[in-house]
Amino acid sequence: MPSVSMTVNGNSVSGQVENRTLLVHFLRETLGLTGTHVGCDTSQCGACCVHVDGESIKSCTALAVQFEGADVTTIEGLADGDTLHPMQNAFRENHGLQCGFCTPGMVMSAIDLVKNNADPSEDEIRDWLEGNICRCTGYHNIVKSIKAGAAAMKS
Amino acid sequence: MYNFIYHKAESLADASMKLKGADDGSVLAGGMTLLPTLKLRLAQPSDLIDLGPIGDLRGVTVSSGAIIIGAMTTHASVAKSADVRSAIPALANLAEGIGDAQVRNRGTIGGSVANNDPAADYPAACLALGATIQTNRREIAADNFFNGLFDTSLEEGELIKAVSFPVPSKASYEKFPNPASRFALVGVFVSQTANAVRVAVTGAGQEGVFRVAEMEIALSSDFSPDAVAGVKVASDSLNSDIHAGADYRAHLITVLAKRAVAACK
Amino acid sequence: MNAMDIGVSYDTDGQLLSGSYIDYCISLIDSLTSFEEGNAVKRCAHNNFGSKSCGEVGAPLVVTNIIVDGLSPLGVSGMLMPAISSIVLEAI
Repeated sequence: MPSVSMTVNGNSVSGQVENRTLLVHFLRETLGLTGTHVGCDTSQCGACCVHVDGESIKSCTALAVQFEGADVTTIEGLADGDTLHPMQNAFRENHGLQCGFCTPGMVMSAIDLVKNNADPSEDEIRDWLEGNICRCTGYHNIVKSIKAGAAAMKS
Repeated sequence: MYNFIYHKAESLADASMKLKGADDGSVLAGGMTLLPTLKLRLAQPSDLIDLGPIGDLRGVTVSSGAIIIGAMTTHASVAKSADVRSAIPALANLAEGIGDAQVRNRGTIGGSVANNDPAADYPAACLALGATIQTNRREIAADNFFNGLFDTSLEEGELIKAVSFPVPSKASYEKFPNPASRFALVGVFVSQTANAVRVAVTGAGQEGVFRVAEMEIALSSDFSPDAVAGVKVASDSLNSDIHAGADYRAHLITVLAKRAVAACK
Repeated sequence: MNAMDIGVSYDTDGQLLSGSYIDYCISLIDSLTSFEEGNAVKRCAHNNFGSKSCGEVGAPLVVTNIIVDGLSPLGVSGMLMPAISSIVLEAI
């Protein structure tokens, strides 16, 4: 079986994979990082969103072998010890989740938005997160959380 | 998905050679169409040749009245490119409307054009702007490239290197998104150059993207929304599905063409 | 969403046509804008609690009625769900 090596959340990792192993399965099953979720079959729901080389991608629509040597960040890589990332904290404070299944994807996607646009408007938030589906919340508090998270990330 | 042999290509020539050596290989660009297809087991290539490492295929160049976009340039890169935005803003806007943010970070123009999905956006841009598809063997005019549903003039082993778009004087793209998939239910791209007007429609045709000659002629003498208001594409050549019937698509083509013309600057 | 978009859809052979989010319209974040919430309370007169039955959702009908009301100047008096653009156009 081929093996693949990359940096995940700052740590050098490697593991044996099949060529067909999806990045999301490498993260979840080989590395045990189960914060990244699989929510659909059609690359639409965004629960699998992670950062690779500074950009958010859907890890369910990616092969682990494509990312030899890449720099990957998952939801587990955001907090600094016990201190939550400002975007995580914003979701917590603004009730931006109910069941929490879509939440890691929402947070990862939102952080990439803010990297590209430090002060997103509501329209810009609703436009960027088109690839993240939530069944519970109606998105209302997710938008509020991202607004708050963006403001917190500035400081 | 079924397993396959995986290769990283170092150049287009290397990719071509690896493709030739495979029993039934496919090239992997952004993977935004191919990987979902493989996950659903709708295809079973023996080999996957990854074009990802080929840096030469990425980037936007400006060259005497044309914007040349490397085949592996992502939609996000096209949308952000200052060169594309200043020369052909309609193209940057089109790229910005493809899929979602994560899909745009991986999906490529070469992949989209080679796939010729009947609801994809880029084929409309290529036809309407009179683009040239540059491959590892030759150059193909857009008018001769798109041959029907998921079918192009690319021969076996032929790979797209770049797409060259002549800069128009005015252009605009209006897309009515499918409420579920956000692909184009109908998308109309209008462009005007010194010599001609071109109108290309995606999402509606039974054979994929097509030009509307009647609208082009009308706009050539009067480049205004009113000129196309009375032009209707025949419904019998258009798609019907749960989201819209052929008649409604015909209606949308006219409405979007008017809006595109109005938006042309 | 029942009022506004295609949900579950079958063909005449019973084949499910909306088998994934590519065809089934699940609400996305841009389906609505933010809004302020309020309550309009009318207590039921028939019991001490003033409560009505639980879990009955009239929302799809309310939304459809709002649309019909908005289109009434154009002569629209009724409409089928879902209010996808082609159906709204037909109603007008």
